[in-house]
Amino acid sequence: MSEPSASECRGVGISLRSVTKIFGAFTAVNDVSLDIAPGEFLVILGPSGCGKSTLLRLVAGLESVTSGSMLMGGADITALPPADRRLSMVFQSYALFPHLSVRENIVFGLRLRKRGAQEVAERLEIASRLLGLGELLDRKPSELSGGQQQRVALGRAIVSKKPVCLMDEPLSNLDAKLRNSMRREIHALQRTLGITMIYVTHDQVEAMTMADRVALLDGGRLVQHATPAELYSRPQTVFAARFIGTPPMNLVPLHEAEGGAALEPGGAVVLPGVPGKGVLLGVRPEDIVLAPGGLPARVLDTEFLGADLLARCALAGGEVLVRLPGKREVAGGDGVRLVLPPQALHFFDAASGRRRDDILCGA
Amino acid sequence: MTRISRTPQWLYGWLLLLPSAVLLIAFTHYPIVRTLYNSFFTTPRGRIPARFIGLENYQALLHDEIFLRVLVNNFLFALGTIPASVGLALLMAVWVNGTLPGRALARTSFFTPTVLPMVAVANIWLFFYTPQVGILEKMLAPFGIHGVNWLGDPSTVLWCLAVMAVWKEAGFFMIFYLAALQGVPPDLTEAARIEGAGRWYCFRRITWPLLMPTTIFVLLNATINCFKLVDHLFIMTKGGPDNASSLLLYYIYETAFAYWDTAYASTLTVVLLGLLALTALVQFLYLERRAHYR
Amino acid sequence: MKSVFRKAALAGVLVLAVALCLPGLSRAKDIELTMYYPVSVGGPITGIIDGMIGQFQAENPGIKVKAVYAGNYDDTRVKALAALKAGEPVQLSVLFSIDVFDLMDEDVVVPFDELVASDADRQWMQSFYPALMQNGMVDGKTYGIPFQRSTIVMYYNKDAFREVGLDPETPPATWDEMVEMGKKLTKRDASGKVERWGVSIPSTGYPYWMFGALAMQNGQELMNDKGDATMFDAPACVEALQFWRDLGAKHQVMAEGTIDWGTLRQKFLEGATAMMWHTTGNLTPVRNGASFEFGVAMLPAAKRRGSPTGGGNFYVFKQATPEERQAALTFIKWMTAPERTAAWSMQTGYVATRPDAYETQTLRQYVQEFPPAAVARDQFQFATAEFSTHETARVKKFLDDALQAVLTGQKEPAQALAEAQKGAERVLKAYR
Repeated sequence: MSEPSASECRGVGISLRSVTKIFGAFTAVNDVSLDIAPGEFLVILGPSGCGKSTLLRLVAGLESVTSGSMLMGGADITALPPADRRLSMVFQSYALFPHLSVRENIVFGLRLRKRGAQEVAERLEIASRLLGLGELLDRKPSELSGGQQQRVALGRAIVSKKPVCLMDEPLSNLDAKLRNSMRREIHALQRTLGITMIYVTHDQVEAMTMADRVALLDGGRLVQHATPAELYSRPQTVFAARFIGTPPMNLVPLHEAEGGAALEPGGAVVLPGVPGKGVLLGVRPEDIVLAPGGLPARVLDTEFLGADLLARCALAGGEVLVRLPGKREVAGGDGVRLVLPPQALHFFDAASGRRRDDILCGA
Repeated sequence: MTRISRTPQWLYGWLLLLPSAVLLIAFTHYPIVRTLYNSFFTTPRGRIPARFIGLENYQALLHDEIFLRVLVNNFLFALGTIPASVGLALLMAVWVNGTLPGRALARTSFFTPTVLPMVAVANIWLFFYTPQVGILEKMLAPFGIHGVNWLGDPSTVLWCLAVMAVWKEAGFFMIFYLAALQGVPPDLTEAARIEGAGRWYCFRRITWPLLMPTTIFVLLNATINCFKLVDHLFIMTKGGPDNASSLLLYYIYETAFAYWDTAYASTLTVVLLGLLALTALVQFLYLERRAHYR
Repeated sequence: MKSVFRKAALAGVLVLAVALCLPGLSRAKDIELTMYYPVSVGGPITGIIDGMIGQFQAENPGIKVKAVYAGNYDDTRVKALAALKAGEPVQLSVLFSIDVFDLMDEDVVVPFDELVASDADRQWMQSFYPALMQNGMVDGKTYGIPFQRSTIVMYYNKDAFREVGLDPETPPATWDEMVEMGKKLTKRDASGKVERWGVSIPSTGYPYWMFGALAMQNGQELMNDKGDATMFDAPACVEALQFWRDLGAKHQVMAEGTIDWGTLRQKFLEGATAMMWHTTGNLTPVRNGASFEFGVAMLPAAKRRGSPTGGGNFYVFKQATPEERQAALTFIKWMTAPERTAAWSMQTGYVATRPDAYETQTLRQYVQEFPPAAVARDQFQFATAEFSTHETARVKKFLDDALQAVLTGQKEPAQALAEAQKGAERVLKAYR
């Protein structure tokens, strides 16, 4: 990849201040505040219907906020029309104009802004080389494969040289293999161009692999805004714990016992010094270790994934998933001993779902 | 099994086609051929049989002032109705496609003229145009326009009929445009808006090209209709005054069923068929190439 | 198995055959007549005709009449001729009185002279107004018996007459009087906008009919008895047309341009014209719709009075068998009997076709209560045939176009009528 003249498209920062969007009786985006650094790759992640696409459309200016404000590079853009917000956007459907050739699609905006023929040609040349579209310039979108159409949509964003790029689930219409390579390509492009990226997806793999930081949304609210690593290692809510990780974190209700917490009512204390009442214990399947001296459990069944082996185990009246190296020979019906390393345990308030960092397992 | 496979495949094909082919031949192809054939003969009258006269009927066309008049009228009528009704249809469709309040009411009221039979419409408009007591007279009176004999004046009558036809047709074409507009993905216009395109630019560069197949369809229909729709003439003017509002098909009707001159009517019909074939050909060959079909 | 099927099939065929034969056997003596009638389905006239047919069938067992309501005069002729050409049974019809030459040229009608046998029947043929018989007679033979007939009369608004100081009981009797009164009756507002015209003569639909009246009043017929020559370019015709045009263009007592046949009644009822020439067929609707006192008068005279008749006659078709022809004659005689004619006239507003109908108790009383009903009768002494030639529709069209061209100011009367005459000559030459 050759270096484009990136000077004018260096990313700018974006700040959302208590942004809220209400459709009739439905609150799609609820009081979201976020700071995105210049050149940062932000992924807005959440299940479908969580308001992530609406949030993106608010930033784009395709919807107007009900309340709150948005700043770009320090300037208030809340009331600006989309065209004046210095951003480009790649749609889930790619939104290619079906009656125009690839070339016309890419330079649509430049033509609209009446850029000189030479400048148009130069930018087209750079974008098409960057994306390998040279052969396809005279084709119509309907004559392209899904991946090629995706590249054209990217091309349209690149030639515009806007400092901010918005992407709305751009990879969801591609097959798994193509998705992997495009993911890497988009990430590399963003790095190369230095633009600020806001990327909406429901796919946690995309979020974890691409994002500088992830904004996790649930029910229109911002649940957690953190780096992928932190999101994974310190989920702030039960929702985040469940949403991130495949398979997700095990969550086991604790019970009060003398001197600590038990895994079942009236059971023996397994977590000394931990208040059991109203607390959920979280532990990732990969953090559980099979070792002598652990809690006695029985394997219910197993799933072989190649590198890994997932074992569903009955533990003290509940169930936990354990991720083991694929070589381990464990089968349904086996008795095992499970060790829950104290440093790998998460505690949540059962009522509010919030993380409780005050609890320490003092074993 | 072996017997079945020996029966030639083409026989099944033809047998399946037979019912519709019979209908098509009996009611479309045979009449066309017969019409062409009749146009080379005289009209049989009473006990005098038809006589072959070659192209004499066609020569008579060239000297038939009424024929030339209705041809010109038809051309003017097409000019007055087609662009106006298609344009209005598009305008109405864009309007009711948006999210304005009372949209359902607007859609219904735009579409209503279409469901009314032409004869009923003609009767209503006949009274609209009536001098002195008509609604048009009453509407225009405050502007000092009065006493215009809309349908009784050769210089206004054809345009009055054109206005009525536009009113009647536009709602029908609007439905097609509305359907087409709703088939245009909204993110296309959003993508254009982000690039800085205004409403007009969006329409001109995106919506309009995407509506092209619909436009071709509607244009073709409008053209055919302006040759085909003559019901209103029976009610409103009978082609008058002095053939000022007569159209080709109405003249064919008069010739065939009032004058009982079937041979000459066949000749006129051949001309009409030729004209329609020509328009269809032009529109398909020329416009088709410029349209984008998804 | 096979034999069971065969028996069942045989039984089925037998049952079917018996079922098909039964009605035929039981009604072997009935004569069925089909009659095309020029009125749209569902109108009030269909109910009246159906009622008359029902009564006829009750009084004449053995004859069944089926009326086919086929629309206007042109449509009905087209449908009747098409049925005849297809060999369908049609024995009689009511068709346009002026289609007689065309029906003869198509060789489908039989003269009534060949149907009547008794002196009483011949007497019956003489019982109609001579003016109404004119259109049905060719070369001394009678092809059409008048039934659904009308003529043109002048309707006038008595209130308007009073308003401008005219005697409401003295409508104009001459062209000059009509113009003079028309000038008084024409009312304009301050801006010059016409609120009421003096007189209106409709010029769409049937302009040749109105012109037949004007020409006759100027002492000129439009065609000869044989229907193979027209006199469109006669000086008296040119004069008559000039007068028609002058009503609007010069005297300004009538709207310029053409005046629509269909909406004129409404305009009269709304007081937008003080006088109108229209068919007697409008008598009942005008009577029902007028909110003012109106009168009916004979059309005014130039050299003489004159008004063409119009409407539909009974015709009997050649393809009917002798029995069917006699049955048709029986039916037509029944339909045109004085009492029936009187009732028909009262119900519909069409004229009663024979003098003795006006002598019946019913009609005498009706005329007494509603004198306008008698105007058409009194005008019959001046009445003439409606325009009718070979290829009537085509020849008529030359005249209609000429009249409209003059009334809309596009051509001069002499030129337009000369052209129409030339066109008519071209068509009619072949029939001499």
